[in-house]
Amino acid sequence: MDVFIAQFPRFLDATWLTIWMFVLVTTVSTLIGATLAVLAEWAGKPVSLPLSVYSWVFRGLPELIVLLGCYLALPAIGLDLGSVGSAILGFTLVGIAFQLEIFRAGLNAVDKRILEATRALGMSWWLTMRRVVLPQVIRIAMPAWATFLAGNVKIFAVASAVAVTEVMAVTRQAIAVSDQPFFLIMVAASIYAAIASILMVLEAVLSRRFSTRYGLGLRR
Amino acid sequence: MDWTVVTSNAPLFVSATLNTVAIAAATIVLSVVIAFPLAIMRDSRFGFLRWVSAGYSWTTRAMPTLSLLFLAYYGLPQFGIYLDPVVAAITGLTVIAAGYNMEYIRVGLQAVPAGQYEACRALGIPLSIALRRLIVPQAMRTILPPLTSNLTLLLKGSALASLVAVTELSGQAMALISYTYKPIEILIAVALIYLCLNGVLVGVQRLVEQRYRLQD
Repeated sequence: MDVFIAQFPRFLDATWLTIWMFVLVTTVSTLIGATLAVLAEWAGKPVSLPLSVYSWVFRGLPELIVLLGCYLALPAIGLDLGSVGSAILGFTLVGIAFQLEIFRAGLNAVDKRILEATRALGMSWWLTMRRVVLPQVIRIAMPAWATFLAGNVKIFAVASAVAVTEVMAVTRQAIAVSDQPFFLIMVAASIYAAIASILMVLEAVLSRRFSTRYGLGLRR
Repeated sequence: MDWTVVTSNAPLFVSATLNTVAIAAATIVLSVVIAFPLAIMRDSRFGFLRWVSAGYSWTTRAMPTLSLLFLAYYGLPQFGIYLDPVVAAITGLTVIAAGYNMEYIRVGLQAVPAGQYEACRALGIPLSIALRRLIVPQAMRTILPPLTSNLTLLLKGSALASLVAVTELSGQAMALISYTYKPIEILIAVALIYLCLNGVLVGVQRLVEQRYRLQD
């Protein structure tokens, strides 16, 4: 317990680092992933094929390998992002691949006849996207998106392997100066579990909110 | 690019790949074996068993895999239990994977109509036989697709074993990089091996699904 009290400020900093990295990675990868999904749907094979390869590679590789690539291989070609920078880049690359698939599935679920109807009504592409397609895609993709996030936050523990001082790295350092590894690792696990649990609750709330708002609206 | 670093260390890559395959295979088998009783406990008559299984599912799905590996490798020695790195890695990975697998199995068991359970009880068939001969074979069709697609995640998860001193593929890569200073070639080679293994698992997934579809 003493070692935890002594290390508390460092655990706090590490938790904060994990949270802001997660928020940044999520925001960037969601925006890029959603944009690429729209591109892949509307620009045809020349765009969608490379994107499929991209998503296969980055969903198939262990996160650790991607992070090591960003941390060790990029400096060899003259791009040194530092440990936090390469962790953020690595997780974003992986995140984009998953978000791409989530939003692609959402776009595919939109009834194609609706698009014909909007064209018949003379709506522009942008207006169709904004008022017709995206609200549906968001509703369809939201549960999968939230589920992915709740599962994804834990993988940030891997950043400790590329010298990012997030929760797991601080835990390892604290273990080195104490004789209570079990307790310290449980603390680290609880920090992640707490963040993941908040996201799990958010996931439940979001999916309920979206289903009532749109579900009832359609039935009315 | 200097690919001799990969070709001259080929035996190391082969043995590391075998380690990765062994760890992933052990995790896959053990986690499914553990997950079955946990999934059945979730619908038990006894509140305590339901509570244990729900707690297990929540904890393992909220905890990072890495923290469980650390618990097995750095944490257990505190209580005098010293595990071999490979055993510690398999233990940690199995505990987490079982948490996910039990959810897939539970959903599959629930997808079997309740009437079947009632019919078994009415006919006086003991639960153990009912599960083995009637319920599980039907549930398999629902269980297998998510379970097999989870296998690729387990393969990716085995990379974490390198962080508890196991020289599987990722660990070997890190070691080679640190004394050859050739990160690009080594990481590309390792990435290709992972993608090949992944391709094999996706093939297995297709085969298994086809097999169960034919039995319909």
